[in-house]
Amino acid sequence: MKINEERINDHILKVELQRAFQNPRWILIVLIGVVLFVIGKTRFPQITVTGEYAINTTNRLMLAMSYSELAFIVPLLVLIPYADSLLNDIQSRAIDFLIFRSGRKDYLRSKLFAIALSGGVCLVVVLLVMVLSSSVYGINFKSGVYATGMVNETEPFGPFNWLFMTKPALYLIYLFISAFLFGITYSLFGTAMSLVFKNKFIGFSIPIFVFQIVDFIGVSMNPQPWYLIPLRGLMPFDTARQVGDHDLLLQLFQYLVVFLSSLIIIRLVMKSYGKK
Amino acid sequence: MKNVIEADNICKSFGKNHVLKGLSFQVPEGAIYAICGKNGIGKSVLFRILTGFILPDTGSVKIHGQQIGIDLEFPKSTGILIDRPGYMPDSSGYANLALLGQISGLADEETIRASLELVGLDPDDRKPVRTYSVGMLQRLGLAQAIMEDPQLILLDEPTSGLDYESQIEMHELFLKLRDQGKTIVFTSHSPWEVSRVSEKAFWLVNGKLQEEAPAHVNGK
Repeated sequence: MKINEERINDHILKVELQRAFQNPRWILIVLIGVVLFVIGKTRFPQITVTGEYAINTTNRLMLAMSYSELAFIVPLLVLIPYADSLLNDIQSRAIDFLIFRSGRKDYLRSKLFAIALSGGVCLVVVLLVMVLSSSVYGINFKSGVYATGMVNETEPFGPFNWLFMTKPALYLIYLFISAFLFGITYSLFGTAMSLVFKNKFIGFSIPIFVFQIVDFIGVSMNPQPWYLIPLRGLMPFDTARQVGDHDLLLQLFQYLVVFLSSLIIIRLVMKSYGKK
Repeated sequence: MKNVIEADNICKSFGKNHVLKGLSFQVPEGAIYAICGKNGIGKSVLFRILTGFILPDTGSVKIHGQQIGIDLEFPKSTGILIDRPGYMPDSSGYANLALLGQISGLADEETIRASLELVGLDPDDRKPVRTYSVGMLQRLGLAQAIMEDPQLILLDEPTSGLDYESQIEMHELFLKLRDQGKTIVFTSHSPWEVSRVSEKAFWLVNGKLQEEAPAHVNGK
C-alpha cells in the first residue's frame, strides 16, 4: 500500500494527538487529582504537617496514593481522556472518512499511540496535581525519613527503594515513569475491552473488575505472587501487604503481558471490522 | 477518452448470498454515470468495492490506472460519499471537515468554507453534527466529497433524505462539477434522477449489470 504513506502518517498522528489532548476531559482529570489528594490527606493527616517534622514531597504523594481511592479507580481513570475514541469512531462511522484519507494501518497506529500516550499522561497529570496540591504544605526533598501507616516500616519496598532514602526527588521521577507505563498499558486494555463488548461502559468496567479480582487473588495467596498484583506496578512502595522487595524486570513484564494482549485483541477485532 | 474506472469481472458473496456475479464496466473521464437498482440489490456493496472499503472475491478495480487493494489501499484523487455517512457527532460540520482536510493535507479553510457554501450549509454554524437533519448530513457528506478538489467523485445515494428542491440543487451541482472536468459515479434507485443527471446508467439486476433498464422500470 503506497498512498503517500510518509506524508499522511504525520498528518493522522497529529490529528489523533490533537483529538486526544485538546478535549475538556482533562479538566475532570485535574479535578480528580485534587479530590484524591484531599481524601488522602484527610485520612492520613501527617501529610499536612509542616515545619521541622514535615515529611518530604515524595512521601506525601506516596501516602496520598495509598490512602485515597486511587487504587480503586485507577483502571478507569486512565480511560477517561481518549480510550473510547476508537469505538466512538467505529460506532459513529466517522472511521470511514478517516481511514479513506489516512489508510487503515496509519489510522490504527496513530489512534493507539494517542490512546496509550493519553492514558500514560493522564496518570502522570493526576500524580502531578497531587504533588502540586501537597505543595501548599511546603516542598522539600529531605532524605532519610520514611513515614508510613505501618509502624514497622522504615523504608519503602520495591525497585529503587534505596533511591527514596537517598534522593527522594529521583524516586518521585521513578513513580511518575511507573505511573506512565501503567497508564499506557491499562488505557489500551480498556480500549480492547470496549471493542470486544462493542460497548464502552461494559468494556470499561472490565479492567476494574479484572484489576480488583486479580489483586484480591494475589494478596490472598501466601506467599503473595506480587507479579500477579497489578497495583504493585503503580505503587511499588506499598507496605500494606508486606510482600517484600520485587524485581523491576518482573514489574515491566507484568505491563508487557497486559500491553501485548491488548494489542492482539484490538488487532483481531479491527481485522474482522475491515472485512465487513 | 481515457477510462477513470475499469472494473473487471467483479464477484462478491457473503456466505451463500452471491451479491455481485462478474461485473465489468468502464467509466470515461469527465462523465456522469449512474449505478441503479432496487434497494438491497447490491449497489452499496459495489460502491464499497469501488472505494476500497471491501475487496472483491475475484476480479479487479482500477481507478486512474491503479488497482485497488494491490497498488493502492484507497483510490487517489477521489472524493466519496458513503451510505449513511458518519462524523464526529460533537463537533460542528466545519470542524469535521477541517479535521479530514488536515489528514489529507489537501483542503484548507478557504476550500472547506467554499465547499460547505456550495452545498448550502453555513460554514459558521457551530451546531454539533449530532443535531443535523438527515438532509444536512447528506449535504455535509457532499461537501466532504468535493472539498479536496478530486478528479473522481463516487457518491452512494447522494440525494437520499433530500427534499425535491434540494435534489434539483444537487443535480445542478453534479452537472457543474462535470463541466469542470470531474468524473462522477453515483448510485440511485430513482429512474427520474438517473435520467435527469447521468449520461449512462448501469442497472444492477440479479447480481449482474445491464445497460438497459429492467422491465418494471420501463413500465413494460
